[in-house]
Amino acid sequence: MIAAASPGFLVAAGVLATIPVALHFLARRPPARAALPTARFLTEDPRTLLRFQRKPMDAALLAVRLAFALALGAAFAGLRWMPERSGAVRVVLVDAGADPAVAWADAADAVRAVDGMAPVGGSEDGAGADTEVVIVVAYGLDEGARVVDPADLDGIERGARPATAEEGLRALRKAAAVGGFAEAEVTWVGRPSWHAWSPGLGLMRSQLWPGRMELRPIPVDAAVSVSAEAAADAATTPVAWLVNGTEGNALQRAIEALGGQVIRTAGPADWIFAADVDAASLLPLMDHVRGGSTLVVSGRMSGDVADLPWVVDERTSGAAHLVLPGDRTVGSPVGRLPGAPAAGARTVAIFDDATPAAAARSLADGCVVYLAADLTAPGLATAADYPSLIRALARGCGAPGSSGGPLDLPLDKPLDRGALRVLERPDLPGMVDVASLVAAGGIPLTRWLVLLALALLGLEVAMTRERRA
Amino acid sequence: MPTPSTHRRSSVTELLPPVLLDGLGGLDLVARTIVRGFISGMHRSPFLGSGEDFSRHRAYQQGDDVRRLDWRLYGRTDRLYIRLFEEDSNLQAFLLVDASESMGFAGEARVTKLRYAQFVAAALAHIMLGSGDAAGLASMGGETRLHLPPRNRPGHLHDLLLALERLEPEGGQRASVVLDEVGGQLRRRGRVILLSDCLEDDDGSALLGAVGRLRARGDEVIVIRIVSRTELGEDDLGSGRYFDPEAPTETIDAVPGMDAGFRSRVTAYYDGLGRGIEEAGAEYVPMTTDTPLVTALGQWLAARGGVGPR
Repeated sequence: MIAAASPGFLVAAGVLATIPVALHFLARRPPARAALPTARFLTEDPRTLLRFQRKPMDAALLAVRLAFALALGAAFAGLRWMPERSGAVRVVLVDAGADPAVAWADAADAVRAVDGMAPVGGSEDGAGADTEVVIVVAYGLDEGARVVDPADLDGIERGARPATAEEGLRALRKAAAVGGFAEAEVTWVGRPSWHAWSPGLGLMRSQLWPGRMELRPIPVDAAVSVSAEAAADAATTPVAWLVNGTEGNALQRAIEALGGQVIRTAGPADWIFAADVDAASLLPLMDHVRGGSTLVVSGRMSGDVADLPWVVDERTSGAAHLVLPGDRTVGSPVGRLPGAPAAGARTVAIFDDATPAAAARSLADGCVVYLAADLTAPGLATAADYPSLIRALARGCGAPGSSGGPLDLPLDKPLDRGALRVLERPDLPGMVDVASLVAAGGIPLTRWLVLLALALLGLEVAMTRERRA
Repeated sequence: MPTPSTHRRSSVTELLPPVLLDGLGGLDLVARTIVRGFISGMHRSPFLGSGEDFSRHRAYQQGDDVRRLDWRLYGRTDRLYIRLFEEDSNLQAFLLVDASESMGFAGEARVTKLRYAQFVAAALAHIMLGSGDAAGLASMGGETRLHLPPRNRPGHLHDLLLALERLEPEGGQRASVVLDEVGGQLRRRGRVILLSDCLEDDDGSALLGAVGRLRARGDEVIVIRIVSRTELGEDDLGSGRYFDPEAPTETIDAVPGMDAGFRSRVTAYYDGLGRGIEEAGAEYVPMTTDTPLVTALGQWLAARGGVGPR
């Protein structure tokens, strides 16, 4: 199958091709005159083919010109050779990332329990495209993701860190493109907890996979409470230090509500919150960060700060809502400050148009977090999810699946109903047209078509050179 | 029975096609080559004794034309004498070459009619001047040009061949006009040799009239008609838009190869013209440009009595 990126050029090629056809029939070349001194003795013969005298070369020349016009149009149309696709496949997506709450054997059993499970490549009776084909894709492995044989599930070594649903969806797209299937449906096997969530997942979900996923949760015998362990390990009450510029009562109340202690004197602290401060004021704070503190900076920056996980530019402006993990929108729209995450920084919050709103980057033993909005702005401070915002920022440089302390969200907590629906998306079709997902793939033909057009142009010039002479 | 010498002449004849001669170079060399092709068998000029005015007697020598024997004198004297006529000496001749536009046509022969006429004229000039006759050159095309008056003096042959070489096809003058002009140039009875394709814009009656006028003066007239086989319809021409080079604005859409009457009409024209010329007392010599010149000239001059085996 051949797909065109810009099919309009094919139409243009067809129009262009009509020109040599029209010229061929309209530009009638009168027969050549020949001298013959005894011409007076000739008899006029109107039956001759004089008026339509054409040489065999004319037809060949017309064919060359037609081919040139079509080849040129096809080259601009961005044709790609797409392998033929047929049949349907069910992809079983299994979370093979680290999860202490789930035994891998249980995960393997859950995969094998999926209806229609058959060996990779076809059903046991070897039937054709009408038989459901099932492939198993394990993601979250140390090497990324791969297709596995159900018979080899028990031997899989899980990844060292928890995997996100985003990783699974990206692995799903790649797996569906392989194998030449025309349609695919998905069954997701895993533990739907906040481990699987990543900022912006709700906005990216349908783009990553434009179909619904059938969720098959893995049974868990006992839930491990990260927050309880973290609380047991905590020796002292976490301290948050408010830097000048962050004296808003709302921030203080939020920290205290999360179980933290607020101080205002300089010194080591678990978290340091600074807002609308200049670069000179931040420099001494960096020493505390290197010692293990987490610095949360928000608001407009004056001056350059080398270790800030944010690069100021003029890209963004206006106001927007902040969106936290779980696709929870915080308060009213806030003024967004220009810039983007610096190299190596991780996005910890986004605006409602999926652009980054906050980024974090490690600095020695600590972490620097920057929020491209004013943390003390009234629109945020009065929001019901204000404490969740503080918590998300305080998590700092921790990986999405990691727990960062008493102010952190328990990642092993199951996804709420809203988050589950984001993963599942029951409003989307069950079968996804795989060809539409791989439209950018295939073998590009543009280069060969351009070469063909050039060769035809050279041939046309050679064929008409004698005439012009 | 062919003699070794004639057999050799046939071989030489085959090796001298007009195309080959065209590549030889100047007309002087061409003329010598042509004449040498048949002159070995020629022991006197082929242009002797065709006139009417008796000049004197000469004792018969072996090889003389027996038709010239004066039998009455033999009856009186018991000695053989031949009659010599006035033009046997101091003969004035004009070579009149048609250099009109139609003479630039070559056809399948690849040698133009003008070029062929130049070869023939050069050979004839060589023969006539070599025999002691006076020869001049005139041409017609856009206008009549009297290049050289009839003379026979050192360097005249060279000047004549040079003027002949410079002829280029142009124009479309009538041969009848030129014949009348040339005839006026001859102080006494002489010889006019016209080399032309004889394609007049009428049915040839004007040409025949001019020939008749020259004959009435007592001039000898030889019309050498030079055409290509293509013009005679003997080559297969395809469909096309044909035109006469001397009337280029008139075009005829035709297929000569499929025109059954084309060949017969051309032949009828030339046959009628030839009959008219001969009836006027002139000599008509048809030639085609694909015929080797030694063959064409040799056969003609042999018929005039100038060639014979040694």
